[in-house]
Amino acid sequence: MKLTIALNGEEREFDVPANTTLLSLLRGQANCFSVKHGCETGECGACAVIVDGRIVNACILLAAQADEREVITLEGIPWILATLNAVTPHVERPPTAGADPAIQPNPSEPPTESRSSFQNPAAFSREEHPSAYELLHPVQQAFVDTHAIQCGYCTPGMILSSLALFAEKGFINLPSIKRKTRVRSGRRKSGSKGPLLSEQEIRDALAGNLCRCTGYVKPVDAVLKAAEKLITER
Amino acid sequence: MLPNLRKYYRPRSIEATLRLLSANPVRCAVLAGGTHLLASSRRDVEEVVDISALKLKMVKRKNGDVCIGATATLQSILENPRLRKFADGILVEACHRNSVSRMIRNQRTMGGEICANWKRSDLAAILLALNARVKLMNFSLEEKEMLISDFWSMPAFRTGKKGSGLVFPGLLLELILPTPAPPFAAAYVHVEQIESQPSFVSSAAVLEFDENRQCGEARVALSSFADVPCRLPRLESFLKGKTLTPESIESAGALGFDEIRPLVDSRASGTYRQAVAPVLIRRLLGRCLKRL
Amino acid sequence: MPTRDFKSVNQNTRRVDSVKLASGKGTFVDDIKVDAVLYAKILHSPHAHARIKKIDVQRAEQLHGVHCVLTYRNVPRVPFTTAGQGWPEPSPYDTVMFDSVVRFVGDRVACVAADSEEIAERALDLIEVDYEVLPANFDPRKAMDPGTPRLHLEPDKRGIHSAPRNIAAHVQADVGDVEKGFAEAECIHEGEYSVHYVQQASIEPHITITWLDEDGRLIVRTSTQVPFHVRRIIAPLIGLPIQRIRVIKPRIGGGFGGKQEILIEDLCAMVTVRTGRPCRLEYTRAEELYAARTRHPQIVRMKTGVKKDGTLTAISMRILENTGAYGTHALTVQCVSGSRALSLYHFPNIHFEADAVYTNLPVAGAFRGYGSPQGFFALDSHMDELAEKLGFDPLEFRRKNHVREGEPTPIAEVLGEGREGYKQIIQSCGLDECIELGAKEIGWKTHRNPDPRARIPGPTVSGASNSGISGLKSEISNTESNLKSNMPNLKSEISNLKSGIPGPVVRGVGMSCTMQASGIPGVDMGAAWIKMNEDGSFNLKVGATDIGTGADTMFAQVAAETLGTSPEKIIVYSSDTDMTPFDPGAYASSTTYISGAAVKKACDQVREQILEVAAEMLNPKKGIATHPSSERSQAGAARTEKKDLVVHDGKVCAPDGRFVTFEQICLRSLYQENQFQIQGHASHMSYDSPPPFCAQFAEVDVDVETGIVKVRRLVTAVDCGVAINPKMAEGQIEGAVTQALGYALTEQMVFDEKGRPLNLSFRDYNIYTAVDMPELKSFLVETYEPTGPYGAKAIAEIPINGVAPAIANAVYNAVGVRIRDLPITPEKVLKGLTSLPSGALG
Repeated sequence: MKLTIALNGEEREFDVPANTTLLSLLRGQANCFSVKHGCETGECGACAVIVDGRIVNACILLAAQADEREVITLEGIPWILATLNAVTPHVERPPTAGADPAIQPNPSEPPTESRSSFQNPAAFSREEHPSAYELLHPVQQAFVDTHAIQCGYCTPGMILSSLALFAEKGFINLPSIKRKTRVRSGRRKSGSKGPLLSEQEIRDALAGNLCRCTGYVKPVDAVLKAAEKLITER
Repeated sequence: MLPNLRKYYRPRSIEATLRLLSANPVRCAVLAGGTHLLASSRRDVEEVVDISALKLKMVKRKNGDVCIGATATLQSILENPRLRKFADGILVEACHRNSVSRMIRNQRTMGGEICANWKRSDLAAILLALNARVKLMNFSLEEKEMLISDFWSMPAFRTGKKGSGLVFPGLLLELILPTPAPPFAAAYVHVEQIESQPSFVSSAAVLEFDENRQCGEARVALSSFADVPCRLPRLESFLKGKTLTPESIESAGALGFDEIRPLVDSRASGTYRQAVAPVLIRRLLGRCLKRL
Repeated sequence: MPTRDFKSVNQNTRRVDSVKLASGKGTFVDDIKVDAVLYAKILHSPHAHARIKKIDVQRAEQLHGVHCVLTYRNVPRVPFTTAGQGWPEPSPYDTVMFDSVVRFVGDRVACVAADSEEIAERALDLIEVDYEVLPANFDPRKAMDPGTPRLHLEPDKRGIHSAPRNIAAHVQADVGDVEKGFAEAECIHEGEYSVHYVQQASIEPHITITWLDEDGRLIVRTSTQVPFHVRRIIAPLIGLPIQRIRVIKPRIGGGFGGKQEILIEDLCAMVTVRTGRPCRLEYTRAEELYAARTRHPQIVRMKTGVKKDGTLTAISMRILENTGAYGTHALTVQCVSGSRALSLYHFPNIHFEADAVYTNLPVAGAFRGYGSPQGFFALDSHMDELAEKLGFDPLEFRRKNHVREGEPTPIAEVLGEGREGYKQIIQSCGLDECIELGAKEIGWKTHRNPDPRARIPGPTVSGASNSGISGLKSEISNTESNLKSNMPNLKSEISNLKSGIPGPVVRGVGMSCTMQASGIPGVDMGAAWIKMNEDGSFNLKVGATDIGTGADTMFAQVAAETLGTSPEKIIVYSSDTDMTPFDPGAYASSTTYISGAAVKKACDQVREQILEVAAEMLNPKKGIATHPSSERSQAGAARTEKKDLVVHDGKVCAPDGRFVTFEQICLRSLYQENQFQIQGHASHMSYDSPPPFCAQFAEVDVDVETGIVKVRRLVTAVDCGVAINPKMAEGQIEGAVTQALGYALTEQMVFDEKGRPLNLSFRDYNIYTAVDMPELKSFLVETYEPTGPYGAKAIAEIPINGVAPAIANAVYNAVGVRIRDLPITPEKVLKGLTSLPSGALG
């Protein structure tokens, strides 16, 4: 059957058998490999995607159910960042290696920053070319920075759960190319008081994403850090 | 995944829905949220009728009743500010406890839970205690209301016959929850090791009182205790006319459930269920007492 | 402690793979598109024990879209073991690809490969199997009995200890004279402990994709912990030489031992060999839960002799291990149970004996901890009981008896993994500090329940309408007074349970001490290759298998430290049997200690080469201007010796302040003079296997009416030597204790009377979610292990060992109920509460 799905900011047409799940459509025809499969019965959350602003399990949703709806996966991050018009925070880059072939005096202080910040391994790349890290959403960066990723299989689902939570709390707006999608946000006005987000709220939001590696300590920490960052940047 | 699914429909009217269902009642299934159906890998289902376009998502108040559309998701129910305090919050609490997964609660509908998972759902005990009714429409487009207990007594539910697409010949439209008459107290108590587990046993009570604080109408129900969720008539009649005190609660707890054969499954033995059910009852009534 | 001035090691370097994983880039086995791939599905046995009288696959084969059906009738019968271990495996060769006898519900019957998963599923339904159902045994205690069905009497099976007695493996080890030790004892304590069936449950299921490349070689892209063992083990099964097989391990979605098994690779490869077509085979979650591998259930009998002053005189430990239908890891897991548990304390006389028996239940295998969680559940529970019997504080009792630096662990010499071991002397031990830190954090002195037997009476289990239920009011006040006297600050907790149940709750605190090893001494060998690139970056190729542990990052840090550059300059590639050198794989806590040391050695060679080139550059031969700037600065400089040069931050620096960069060095070595590739390769093995140590503390609330145990806090302090990456080490602790919580309380594979598994989904097999977690606190106690790379020991397995006994000990401390069989279910606790005579021990 023919389907039209607004996928990551783009109207896409698909033709699939009726029994195709959204999970297999996304991983198959749509090449969205960030959507993982761990149980195919809706219990692990590895296949979490956002459909019309709500986080759902793609494995127990027929692709046909997403017909005429809007779907966001991690592959949509560039689109989300572009629509927000706030691509990346400024990251200090280490000096380009090998720029000056001259033998120089030994610097008295070893530059320690260059170790901790990510450097594109392709050292001959152009200075203005952003690193893969810089192209990440702040939520993704927080997962990277806090060591919240071990095997990484549940990570895309956790990040989408976090984005859905942030949208619900009004920390971010999820973009839409379909008018009828109600943007569920704005509950929090910037500058409002009170704690940003309690740890319990984060745990509730991540409870559907099973993780066998991390014990959830660092993922919860990552979401908290991302929330702080997003709210200060607003 | 439904391996043999060939046709998917998303009709916009109830009439069209019933036409599709009646055309092939054996191999056609109703698809609401899909959390049970699509996780089932049932091989008998060849067609599904997605009822998400039927405008059955609404939650409204009508003549003192709360009406919840069949496709209202559990998450939308628990987010609904008008339901937060309904019946001392036990409905919302049970919707939240239904699954720790936000994804599941976004997908799972009240109608689906009633039709596909009622046997092991804590919500079943809540609905029994609330004396819920369901509004149905049959293939001849006749609307009908019945008590949820009668609904679950329909042959299709009782036999749990496999290989038939529809659980009953028609469509569940709405769940109707009468508001308990004040003063009342309601409570929901369950036992599990960790939050994400389904309850080993769960219980719900709605007790209505007269002005002398004597118990009038009392409805107490258990889920995951016996093979199917059940009311406790002996306990209910014991409570009638009583005042809730620690002493009466203790006697109520000591009544026991010898008449009910307890469930045995991978979580707990019948012996354990029988041992903790009186504890739950005492806690349930204790909580009602606190709320009164 | 020699905390050295590390630059890259002992830093929280960002993981080298985290950016791609955070963006969901296609990095796992299934994240590729393969044209014309066949989908394989397995038909599993519905019976626990049966002979296939007749199997008719004709209808399945004739189904349109089916390309291959494999059964015992059309594949060669080659006995092997699915345990992905080194050669020759210590596990018996009791398995064949398909057999005419099935031995557990979930055993292989047939495999179908078709154009789609749906067709393959339909074809499975069309296979007609006529089974002769045989008597089955599910009780390990009955496995050796004369009347019990034997599982592996076929003459072609090898390495089974005693097939006629159903014993897959047997081991015995003695130190000193245990009878003499018992005779010297003033107090003898005995106990029997048992642990259950649990599942590794990695979120990524087992998955393999195979195809033939342009040269007709078989490519096996698979979710494995042991790529080199996969290649070696499947070769004879599919009839290809090793030369024609290449195994690729991309990113892996968790393993925990479950992917040390050669579980599906042989079938997938066989389909490709037979059809010439690519094939994809993936387990469903249900298959993971009944037809993958599990932890070995064990029944452990302990008998200990001790003097009144707490001096241990002897211990006897006997294990009856259930290996399920096949003997995968049967011998070595029980060896580890004994060798770890019996190494931790000063037992002068030891008797250890273990039998692994076959039953008609799922096959046990490797699972994080590998025998240690079993052994330490028994030992730590036992030590607690013993301490109480002698009137010791359990913590002080352990402190008095545990091993320390400079001391031998005699059992290790006589009990290796599947053979005799090697003499081990503890060279680093931070256990005292672990105990101290953990005790302080949990509040050992203030939060212990001083009298666990003064518990509140609960309802009896025998019936609902019993009179033993005391009044609600009195129970609450009982609890309150109990709490008031023991734990003044906890009164409010009564009505503060998450479930909102105002039940009488009693709190307790318990602890455990455990150790592990770092690799298998004398067995594990890892290798590494490294080469230098023009921009001063390095390609590091290791066979070691990062399965989400962070191994690649750890290697980058070790390499960067050794080479004097930053970890970002190291491009790590693991693992691929064509592209990387050998490594046994990710198991036995060996990666940091063994493979990390190999990386260090290889990098040492490269550093020497770099220094040589740098020395040439800084001391140009007469008349040859290697570099204008070096010439410029040469005038006033004395000759610079290689030994005076140091690598630092991607440069080689001379004492006079001159330096050359890695870029310049590599450019010269590749293009300018005395050209050669700066590169290194090294292997490492060790006869030492230094143990990491761990102390764990749990604080629990026990609801005395329902038996529900809620863990409130879990404190873990680990001595893993120098943590190469402290954040990653913490992550290992947090993940391991979370798995251990499930093992202690909620995870259990349950079978019906016909051996059929009852919990086949995450709804029924309960692993912890984010909302279930207690408060976790982790400490890294730093020691310096002289034999490890940069002082490092292992970390990945040890934190899983002590959680269950710490919780069991805490439950005992709370309510005086001793749970000796895992998991700690509310049912067992409630039973204990109602039947235990007051004052009885354990």
